[in-house]
Amino acid sequence: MSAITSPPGANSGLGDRIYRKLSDVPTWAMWILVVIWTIPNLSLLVNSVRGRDAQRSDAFWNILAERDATFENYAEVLSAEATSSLTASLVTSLAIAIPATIIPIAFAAFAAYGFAWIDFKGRKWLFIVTVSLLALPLQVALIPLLQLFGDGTPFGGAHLTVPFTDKTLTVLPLNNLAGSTTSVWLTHTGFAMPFAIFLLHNYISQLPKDIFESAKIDGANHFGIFWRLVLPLSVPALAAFGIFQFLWTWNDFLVANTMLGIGADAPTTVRIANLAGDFDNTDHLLTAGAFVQAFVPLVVFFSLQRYFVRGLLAGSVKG
Amino acid sequence: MQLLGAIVLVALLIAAIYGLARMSKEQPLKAGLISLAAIGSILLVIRAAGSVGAVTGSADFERVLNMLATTLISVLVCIGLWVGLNLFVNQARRRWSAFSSLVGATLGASFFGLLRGNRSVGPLLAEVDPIFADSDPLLLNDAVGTGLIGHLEWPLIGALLFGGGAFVMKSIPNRVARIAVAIVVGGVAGWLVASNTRILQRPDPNWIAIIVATILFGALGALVTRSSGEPIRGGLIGAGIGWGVGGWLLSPFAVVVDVPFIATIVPLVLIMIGLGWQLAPSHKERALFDSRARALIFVGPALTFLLAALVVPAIRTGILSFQGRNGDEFVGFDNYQRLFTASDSFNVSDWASFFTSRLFYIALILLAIAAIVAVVSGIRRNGSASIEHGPTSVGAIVLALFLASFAALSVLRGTFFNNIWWVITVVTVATVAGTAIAVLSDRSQFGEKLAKSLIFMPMAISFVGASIVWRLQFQARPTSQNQTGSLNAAWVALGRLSNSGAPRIVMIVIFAALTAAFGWAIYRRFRADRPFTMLAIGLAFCGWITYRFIGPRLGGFTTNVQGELVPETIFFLTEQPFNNVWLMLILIWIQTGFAMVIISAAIKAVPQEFIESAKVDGATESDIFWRVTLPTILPTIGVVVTTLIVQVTKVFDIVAVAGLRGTFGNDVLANQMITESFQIGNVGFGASIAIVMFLLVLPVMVYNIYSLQRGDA
Repeated sequence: MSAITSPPGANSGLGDRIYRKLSDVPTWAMWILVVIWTIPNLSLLVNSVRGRDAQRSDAFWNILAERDATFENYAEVLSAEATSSLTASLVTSLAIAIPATIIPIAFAAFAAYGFAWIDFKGRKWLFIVTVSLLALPLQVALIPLLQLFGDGTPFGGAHLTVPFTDKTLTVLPLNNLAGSTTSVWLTHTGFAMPFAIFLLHNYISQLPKDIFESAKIDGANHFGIFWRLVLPLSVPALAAFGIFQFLWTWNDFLVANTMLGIGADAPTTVRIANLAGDFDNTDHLLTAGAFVQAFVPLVVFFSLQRYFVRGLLAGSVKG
Repeated sequence: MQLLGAIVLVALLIAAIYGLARMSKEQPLKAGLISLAAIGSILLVIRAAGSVGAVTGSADFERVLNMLATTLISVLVCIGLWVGLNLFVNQARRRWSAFSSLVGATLGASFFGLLRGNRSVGPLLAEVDPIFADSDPLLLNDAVGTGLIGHLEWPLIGALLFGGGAFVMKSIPNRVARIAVAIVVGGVAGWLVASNTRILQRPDPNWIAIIVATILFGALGALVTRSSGEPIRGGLIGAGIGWGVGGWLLSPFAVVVDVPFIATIVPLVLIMIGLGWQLAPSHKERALFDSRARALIFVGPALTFLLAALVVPAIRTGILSFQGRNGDEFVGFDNYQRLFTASDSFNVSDWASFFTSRLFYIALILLAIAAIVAVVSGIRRNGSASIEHGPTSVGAIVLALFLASFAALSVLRGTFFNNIWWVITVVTVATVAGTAIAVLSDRSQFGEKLAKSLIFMPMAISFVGASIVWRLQFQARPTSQNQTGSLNAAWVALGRLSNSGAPRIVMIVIFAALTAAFGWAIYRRFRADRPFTMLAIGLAFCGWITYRFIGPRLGGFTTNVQGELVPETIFFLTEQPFNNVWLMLILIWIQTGFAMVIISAAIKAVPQEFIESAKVDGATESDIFWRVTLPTILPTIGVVVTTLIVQVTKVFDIVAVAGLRGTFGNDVLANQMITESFQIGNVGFGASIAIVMFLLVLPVMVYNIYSLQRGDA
């Protein structure tokens, strides 16, 4: 066996064995990096099944000596009655992430098709502007959006002061949206547009031209082509964006923290960030809480990794 | 009740759309009824299940169901409206009268709704003002006033009046009769508005303004529609709009006795006559209209969201940045001046320490090594004293520059320098580490997928989650207690180990043996002219650890005044300036996976023939990477770098959650912006920080546009 695998002339002395092992240093180095990358996650997972006292007495690897795994942190975090309960937050996060994922998919698919296959004036220019908005920092939009949804003075909503007159028109009164999940997912929908259009346009514009030609000969209009041909064909791209957007909105802290209060039903990220500020009292629940928060994206990520990576590859510039 | 109202509305909408979709086909009524029943029952089931939740006392369960119902309704409304719009436009070619009646109804409803919403007109049916009597101006709340009808009265009448008018007008072939109908419809609508206009909003006609605006808008309308051969229609509509603008917007409000008939009836009649001037557009015009409307329908909704959520707010932020605390007074460049002169933005007082920092000397040494390697390899290749840059010398120069900038940014303090430090460090390290892992995993015999998944996993975790994870590593407690943070616990344990007798000897022996093994392997490899960078790193690492164990000791310990050995921890999150670096580590941990995935895909896409032919020419693996793979994937690395620059410039979550809100000399622009705007409440100053952030990523935006226009994005 070894005569076949080892190169001719190699002897099996100790030195050569060491040499051969060390020749594999690059591979080891990678695995060492993998281990380093995994330890933080592992420490979170391990500490989440250690009780308050254990967590507060020593580092996570001591669980090997203590052997006292317990699920009471999870029980407390997931019970609806406890003060540090996350259940209401989980619902809020879902209430933001689900509409903020589905609705942009629809709008962006329409627009991507429009940019790719409908001929109209200024198409290229509009598309470039849309995509370049990818790099716009969201901070730039936060204050006016908060005023739009806010109930301060005079009151929220879109107001238009007509130039050269002293009159203001209220186009859309929105002051009942302050602090609601609707305001957050509406914001996410707007913020998602450049990336969604870019990603879906990449895909839809690559569809073979022949199918459009033949459909047009059969008398289909743009709506028919989009509904019957393009939509079914672009399911992979839609899924890729959907996963991306779901993770993005579920994990978002900036928008949720700015738009919503910090109550018990704040989104999970905001809630956990606030628990983290509350040293000592609830510190031991943070590990379980963070794991519960990460559980949903991890499931999505591991089950649909292929699509997620595809989304990343298709448009690797997310604002 | 609110939900029930929404359910009914949505069900009706869906039914209407579905029925319309089937209109040309057989049995439209049946299809409509089936869809109505289906949607209604789905929503009722959800609602009923919600009541079950209420009975079981689980508020969360109830919220989940409500949330699902809301989502479903929103999605159905969006899709339904869009499909409906398309179907309406489909009608335009075949049945112009039906189409124009729908358009008329929509415009009429929005027009009257806008008037009502702006309290220009009083309520028609309700005794109290139902829109502003309660806090919910949307249609669905029927708690106050006369309910749904009370809220919808004006839009409904507008829809009926203008929709019906449009339908009748487009069905009568005789132009005089059409004009008569237009006068009646416009007159009735104008009389309704005029007689219900609130006292406070009655305009005092400014005749000069009215005449000027009418002529101006009329001419404009005629000019615009001249190309389609119908200047009279456009002129009439324009004149009507102009009269309305002059009579309402350009005339002051005054409590006058006269009811403003002139200002409302005349323009509405003019517009209606204009609309009724022609029976139906030609077939060619309809085709043009169809394609234009279609483009608007497809691109419009997304652009509306873009405008409302990004473009208009960005412009407003720009305006706010020149205004004061509450955004109500113009202060010029004061905010910017404050931002650029504040000591916590740019603090260069400690610049001299740069020349005494260790990193600076290491960088100098690396530059020297790079020079030596370049000269030596030049001699080896060419036999003369020329300079030949290879991977080693280039790598050393890059590392030296990186360390030098690192040293510079650790002595230059302030928000801006922190931001630059973040960008340089995170982008460089994440890109290099990502490339390294991508290359190594590509070469690895087994477990490539597993390794990549594990490196990539932090991408799926939120920044807040990652901050919690790393707080667990960074925690530092008083030295009298056991350390719970992984890093400090390990550091203190290492300190114990390197100060105790026997275990210390064992460690020295182990690491000395490893050092020797690495050195020997390098010797073998060097003779074989094969790559040895990784071995050199191993040698340096093991050698350094051996030296530390023998010499100055390693780990968290110190000797106190009594000469006893006591543990000493690192305060990762509060010790300036390197608390910045520990936070950067979190982002590197997250973004390396991103860089790895993108670069890995690029490496897999390198044509195999290139590599084969390089191998035939006798290139080593190292040569192949530096001379074939790397140049091929360089554009991809460019994409990764630009993406990361944008990402890192905006870093917020980590500093806010793990970085204790940037209070320990580790503030960055994004966090400062949030603190200033929403905690301190200085909106103008916060806006100016946001604009500066925008200007910082502007070059990347320009680059994106440039590469898009070149067509290679």
